[in-house]
Amino acid sequence: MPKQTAIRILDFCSSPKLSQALDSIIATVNANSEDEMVIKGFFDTILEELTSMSEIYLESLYSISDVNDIAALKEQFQEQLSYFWISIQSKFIRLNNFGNFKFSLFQEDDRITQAKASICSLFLEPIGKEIQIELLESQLLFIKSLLKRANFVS
Amino acid sequence: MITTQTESFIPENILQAVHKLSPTMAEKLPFGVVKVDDHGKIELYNKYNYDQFADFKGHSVIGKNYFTEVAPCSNNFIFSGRFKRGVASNNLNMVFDYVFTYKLAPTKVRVHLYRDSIGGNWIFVKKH
Repeated sequence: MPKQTAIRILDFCSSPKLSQALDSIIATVNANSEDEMVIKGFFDTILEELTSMSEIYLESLYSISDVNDIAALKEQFQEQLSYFWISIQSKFIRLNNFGNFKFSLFQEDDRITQAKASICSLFLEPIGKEIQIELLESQLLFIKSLLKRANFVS
Repeated sequence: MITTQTESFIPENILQAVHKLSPTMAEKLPFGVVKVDDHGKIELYNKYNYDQFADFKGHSVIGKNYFTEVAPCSNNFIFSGRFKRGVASNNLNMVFDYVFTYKLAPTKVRVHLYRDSIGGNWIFVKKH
């Protein structure tokens, strides 16, 4: 049920464990105050978008009475959540790999990139549990078709 | 500057006899020991790994793919790519530094990938 999904996501977003995990990341990378602001800003951006998406959905549920509109709203929320998860998953892979590329091959310790990758990973399973895999699969196929289109047009 | 020579934390006598390493013996070692098949499927995973890195709440990771299911932060050309190339060429003995980030605060480790004399594949990991 999408309503329960939104409630669980909001509970996760406000959980002390999540903020403790962020504190642990900041402490581990031994961030100076400037770096800490960058890392917290990255975390806050993800959190705000996820919270906003869920809150808007729940608020909208209470203001809509048409059954068809409710169904469309549920579908829209599931779709948004699924694309959001894809974006966080992509960010995790990209940041993790880039940070390790620099560290492993050049001994460059880019703590901000490493911290951002860790932050992304905090969100993957809690959101992932709420995703319908069939929807995700169709979205990935759509993204693939967009790539084909990009190559075709150019 | 790309550094290719990194010192291993594995005593040479353990490395030479690793094909005889049992799960019981691996439990006592002060570093992570993972044995995988040629595709990365886990056959052995010691306590150090569970304590330091894994988040499976008591579930076993035996049978899961190390690179895609257990440590997805290792699934790239630097880590899993080196593993695959080593397996393909039947020549794998590589040490490098890495940072684990999946569901962990960034954790610096030293990794030793090794293919033993009878084709067993080993992933050793030690926190800095």
